[in-house]
Amino acid sequence: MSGSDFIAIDRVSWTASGDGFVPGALSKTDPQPVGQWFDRRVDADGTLWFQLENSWDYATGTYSQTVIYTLVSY
Amino acid sequence: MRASVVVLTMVVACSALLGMSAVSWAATDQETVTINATVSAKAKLTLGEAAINFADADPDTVPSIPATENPVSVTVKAQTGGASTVTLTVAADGDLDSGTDTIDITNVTWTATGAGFVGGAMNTSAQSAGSWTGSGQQSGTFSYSLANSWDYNAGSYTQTVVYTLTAP
Repeated sequence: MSGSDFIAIDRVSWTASGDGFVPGALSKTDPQPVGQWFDRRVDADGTLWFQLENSWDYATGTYSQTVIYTLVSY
Repeated sequence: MRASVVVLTMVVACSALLGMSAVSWAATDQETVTINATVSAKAKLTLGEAAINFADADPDTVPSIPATENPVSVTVKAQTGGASTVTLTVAADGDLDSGTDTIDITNVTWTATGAGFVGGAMNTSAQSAGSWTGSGQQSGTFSYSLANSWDYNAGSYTQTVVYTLTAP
């Protein structure tokens, strides 16, 4: 968001490296998987590369948004 | 043996933990990341031709000479404020010159196609060739004509015009 202007959050995507990590794109409605492991003990290291899809349609401004990573162990 | 599953998800703040509250036996941890992006004003103009030419013609049979290159493609790309006006203007550096002979530059006119593009006549003062509101890209064409006249002295005439795209 930048005032009343916005860039759709799904224009932000990522690629991933490392066992169990997966690529994807952000969503404003649904949690997106970033990684999944099935071992009883997990010590996973990986790297995420983020990119914003560029467009001439974007209005000038400084845009900001917060995302939350949630790690769940069942 | 019960299988263990560890899942890492990422959500936008407003929908965090959606559906997680019912999993009372799960362990969770969270990290928050702020995403920032800056979009600054920029403008890019692309004309399909770097020069246009008018062939010699009999003024009685061809009172208006179309440019050999017609129609000339034009593409405008701009990033600006949501309510800001992007403008395209053209200004001639002078009349058509051939040594000491001249043809008034206002005899060169153009028509336009494409949303926001407008036709007009060349002038040494800036003339509007198009305007748009907000960011985006537009495509159109310009078709140029030279008003023909028996009054023109024989010669090869030339002049430069400058198109300026402005995104405030």
